[in-house]
Amino acid sequence: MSAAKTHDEPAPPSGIDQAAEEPDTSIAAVVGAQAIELVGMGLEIASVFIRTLYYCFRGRPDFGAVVRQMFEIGNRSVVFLTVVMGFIGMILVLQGGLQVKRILPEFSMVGASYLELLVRDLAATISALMLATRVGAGIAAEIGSMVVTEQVDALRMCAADPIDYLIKPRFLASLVMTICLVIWAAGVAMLTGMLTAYIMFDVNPRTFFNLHLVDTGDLVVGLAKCLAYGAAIPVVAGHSGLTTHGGSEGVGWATTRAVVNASLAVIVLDLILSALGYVLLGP
Amino acid sequence: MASPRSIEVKVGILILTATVLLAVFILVMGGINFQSTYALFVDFDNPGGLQSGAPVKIAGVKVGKITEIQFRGGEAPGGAGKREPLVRVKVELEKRYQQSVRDNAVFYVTSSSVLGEQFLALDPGSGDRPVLAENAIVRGLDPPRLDMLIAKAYDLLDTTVNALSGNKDEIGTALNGLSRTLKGTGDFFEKNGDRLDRIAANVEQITVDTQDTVREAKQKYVENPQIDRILANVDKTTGALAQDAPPLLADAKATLANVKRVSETVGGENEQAKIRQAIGDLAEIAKTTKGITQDAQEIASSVRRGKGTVGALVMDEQLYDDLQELVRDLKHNPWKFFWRE
Repeated sequence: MSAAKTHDEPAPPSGIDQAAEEPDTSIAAVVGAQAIELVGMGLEIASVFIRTLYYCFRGRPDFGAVVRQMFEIGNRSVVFLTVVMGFIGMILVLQGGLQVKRILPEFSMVGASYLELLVRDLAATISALMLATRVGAGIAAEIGSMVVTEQVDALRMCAADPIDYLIKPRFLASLVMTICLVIWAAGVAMLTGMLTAYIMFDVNPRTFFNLHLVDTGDLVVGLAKCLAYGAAIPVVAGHSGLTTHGGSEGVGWATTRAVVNASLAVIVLDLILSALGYVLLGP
Repeated sequence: MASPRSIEVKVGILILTATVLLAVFILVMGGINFQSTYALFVDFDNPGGLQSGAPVKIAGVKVGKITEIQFRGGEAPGGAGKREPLVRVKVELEKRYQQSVRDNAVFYVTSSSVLGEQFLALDPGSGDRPVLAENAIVRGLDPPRLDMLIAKAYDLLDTTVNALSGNKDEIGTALNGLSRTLKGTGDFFEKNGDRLDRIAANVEQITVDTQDTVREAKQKYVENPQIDRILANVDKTTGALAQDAPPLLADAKATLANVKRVSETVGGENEQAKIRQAIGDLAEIAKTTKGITQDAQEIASSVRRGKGTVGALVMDEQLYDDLQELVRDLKHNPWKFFWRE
């Protein structure tokens, strides 16, 4: 997130930055300002998240908006994710197989460990990174342009919280659709990996599709990651969109920030959930 | 954007596809098992690389899994010089296999290949034993400790290498000697092949003969009924002997006592002198008897020769006839005693 903020520095300052009119050049001041900014942004994102959760239970139900967002987030991403995860599956198995071939030419466990890796981590994380770029950018751009054109202010004037109107449907849609897309993407990656192993290393698909190493813990960790990413991407991107300042240039910065922050959020959540899964559910 | 209706359909299709995929995956994985299970506890000293979650297999078929591995060293100290197993492994087996796991089942750790993951194999035991109860605690067969083996092998190799490098000359000499010996032996065998063959044949013949002899001897001396009879007789004799010996011994004792008394009686000096005197008398009597016998002999021979009256009477037949005639005549004419003609 610091990378995003260093880029952000010359841009129109956000709320907290306005206090420091004359930038202090001492290292301590720079580090301190960055830290405060980081914590501030974390708190803002947390507040957006909590308000989103609140509106999920207390807000007005808008089923149509949720389905529209599901279509936008889910169905529009299927081809993109299929292509990406298909290639990722091929590359992973090819590179892994080449490494295995170098150590000992025995491929019976390649499939098993590949599937475990996929279920536990890679399917969810790589798909979520892809969704962060596509979905995150879309949300940030849409909300950012609404902010710039003062449509959000108009909503506020009508005593309607933009989080209830704009972020909540995207949040719910993303929660459901990330899980569906990740499952689909994992299936595609398994298929392409299996084909690659069969064509490149003559591994029997039955041998490859060995779910021996995949246990319930792996599946639980994988699905928990899906949920976390699905929740994180719209919240982070929506926050970026809502804090847009300036004109169309601000929308561009908001989009960039949304992609970078959402990707970082995915990576950080991946680390946290992997560690938690290792501690709670074993290796 | 498409109509709301078609959007809903498309979204629904995606969600359903993902749900079906997930369900199929879970079913294929079999990790979520709806079979009811029961617990067993297996004790090991060292279960090797066994980890919780590892499968339990009977003849390669997965029947359950390991749910817990707890270290319990020091929890229940054993008796003197004995140690309780250090590790207790909790195993969840599917209930439908419970009937086939008997109480002499063997639990051991093995791996699917040299580098494969380790699992707990289960030899279910024999059908005549009772079923292993739920929550039973059994002793597992510890896997072979490869690390210990390698350590020992390393030690051995080290010693061997040291010994070899330290005694190069001796080993060379010994090898030379061994080679010469082997060569000599080979030559010997080659040279005396025929003789060795004959010896072998002879030995074989001897063994055959010996076998026959032994068989015959067995027939003659072991299986013969005579032997049994002899043995029975001996048995009877010894029995009788055992029965009769005490009275016989008593008699012999009494006899010996008498003999002793007699010898004591006879042994005195006076008695000896008397006996000697008696023997002398006896000798003299015998001498006199001899003279008498001689005289009688002479008389008898004179008689035989017909000398003297008796001789004539015995030896002269004429006289005998005359006497016979006289007697007959007297018998017929008794008057002749009184009257002369």
